[in-house]
Amino acid sequence: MEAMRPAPAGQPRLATMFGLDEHTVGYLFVDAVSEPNVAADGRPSKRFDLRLEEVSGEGASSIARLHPAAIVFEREVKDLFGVAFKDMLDDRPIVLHENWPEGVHPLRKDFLPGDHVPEADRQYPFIEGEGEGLFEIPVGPVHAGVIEPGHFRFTSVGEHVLNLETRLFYKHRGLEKLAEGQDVARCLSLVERVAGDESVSNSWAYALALEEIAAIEVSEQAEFIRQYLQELERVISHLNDLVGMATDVAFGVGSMLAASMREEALRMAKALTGSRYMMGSICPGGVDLDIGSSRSALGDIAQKMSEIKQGITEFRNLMFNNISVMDRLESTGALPSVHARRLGVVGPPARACGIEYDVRFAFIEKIHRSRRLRQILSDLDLAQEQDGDCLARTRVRIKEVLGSIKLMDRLASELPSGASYRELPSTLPANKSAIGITEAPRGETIVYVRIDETGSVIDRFHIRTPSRVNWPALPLAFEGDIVADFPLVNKSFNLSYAGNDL
Amino acid sequence: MDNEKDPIFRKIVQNLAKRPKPMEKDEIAEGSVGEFEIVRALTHSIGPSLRNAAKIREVDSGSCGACELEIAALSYPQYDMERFGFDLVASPRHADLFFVTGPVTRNMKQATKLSVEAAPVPRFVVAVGDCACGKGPFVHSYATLGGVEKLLDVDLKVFGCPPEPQTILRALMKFLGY
Repeated sequence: MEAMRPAPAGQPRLATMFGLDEHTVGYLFVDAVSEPNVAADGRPSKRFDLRLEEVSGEGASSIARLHPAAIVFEREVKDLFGVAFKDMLDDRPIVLHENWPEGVHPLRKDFLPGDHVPEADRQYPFIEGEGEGLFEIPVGPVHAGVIEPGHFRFTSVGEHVLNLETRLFYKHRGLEKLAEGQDVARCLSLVERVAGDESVSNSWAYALALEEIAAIEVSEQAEFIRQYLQELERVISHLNDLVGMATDVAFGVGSMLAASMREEALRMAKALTGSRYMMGSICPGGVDLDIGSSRSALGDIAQKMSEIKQGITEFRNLMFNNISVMDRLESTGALPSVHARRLGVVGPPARACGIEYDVRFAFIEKIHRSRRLRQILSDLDLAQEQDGDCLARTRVRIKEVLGSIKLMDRLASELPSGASYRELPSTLPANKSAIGITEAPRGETIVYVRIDETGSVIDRFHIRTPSRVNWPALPLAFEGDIVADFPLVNKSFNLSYAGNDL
Repeated sequence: MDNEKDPIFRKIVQNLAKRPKPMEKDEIAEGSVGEFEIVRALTHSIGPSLRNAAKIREVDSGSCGACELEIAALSYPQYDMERFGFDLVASPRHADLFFVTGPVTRNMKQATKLSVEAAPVPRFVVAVGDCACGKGPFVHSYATLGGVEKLLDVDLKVFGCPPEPQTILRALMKFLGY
């Protein structure tokens, strides 16, 4: 497929694409690989490039051939705004399913939240294969375990999968539309629930955007606490993946070991913030945490983290010394790094292919002003592997858990004193917009916020979670594998359905 | 192969000795974390049997994922609901009751309904989490129905965003008559 050839050298990565209204499409290009340098005219070269393109009467041009990541975004913009793209590689509806009528585009400003939309009965054409001995296996949206809904359609010959097509957006809740017209605080509670287990990271990216809009600087203490909370979120999230991976290779001992560590970490999160998923802890302006009364919780967490560090080492030894586990993990679900780069894959799956990208290092200047904190983060090792298979992704996550625990220790012991919250002004600059970025446990998360013309509510909110760009890589990683390995490969990517569907 | 000498077996035995103590049944049943509401009291003659052997099917109708994680945690060592006879099953055909999360998105309406209707009667529906109970920020959206009651008869509501595992378990036990 021409779109999957290696990108021309120097081509920036399309990180996200979104409609602003039916006349404007925003494209965000992020180039983390090159050093920020100064061009001949003295201005810094762009590593973070948001381009707003006006859509003409005949529509916009598709950029999917140059940037395959655009395939899903163009379908989304077409569904939600009615923008026509010329020569789309895939022009099927994506967000709105068969129940939604043609011609109704809910993110247009003239679509009002209370509008009644009748039930429709459209058809959705899946990719079909023809040939003797080919089977078409549909799975989902409801799955056999306690797992989010999504549909997978396999075309297989015997056990081997020739093609996997994923279909998502079963969980589409209309989140970006719900955010419009909300004040900053009410929008925050939506952002925390984009995906419940990424509450800290998503609210942090949102807060960063608001703080840039309001031109306020959070305190050094707030910066430390935010990083600390995110590292705790990373430990909890990665432990969940390890539970799932061990379960899917039928290694109950390993999965229960990881599970009991995760439960202890969740209880620590509750002790510190009042919420197991740390909801309500990060807000624009800083953190909503009385660190004075939380100091003893920090000590308890340090103790628990050191137990988890031992437990993880034990888990690693159990898993990697077990022949049947290694047989399942090794070379399964190998994602070629050329595909990962073309699609803009982020997070542990990207690092497992040798892509050296972690927002905590690459964009540290956009996230933290504290010199001390920048120094601490620069001491961290980037967790990396080369093979891009399930084993590599497992190794990356284990390394990251250990790295996060080490980082949490340093952050807690060097925690500065001071206020943890600075209030935002009640009126924000009219029509101002900004972007926030962070390294969530699953990878790079990007938030775009624009304030309305009165300066009091959100006019447009867009979030691009790591799951959105990583989902398209799953079929490519799964090529040539057997049907029975699908749950394992899926878990090894750790893709949020809610984070994709919004 | 002598089990006693196998390093993995020895590790398992060591871990068993120092595992976290799971919460006791009374501790969960008489706890006070979180809230729930019994919408339709369980009067069916099958009630007493379910108290010790309830098969549960989970269906996500559009949650943010946190409720799923808390339901999954019920199988973790600290809660271990299998001790109480509660088991998660893979098929609605095997289910006595449903844990339904999420506000029921338009895109999940059909699958949620068909899943529950595939279970033989008597069957009971538990709405888990604020979204499923018709509360929370997603109920008034173009994309959702606004709660499980808009689609199905609900017997038990467990509130919370997300509800903690012990709340879910306590609500279930009280519904079943502890």
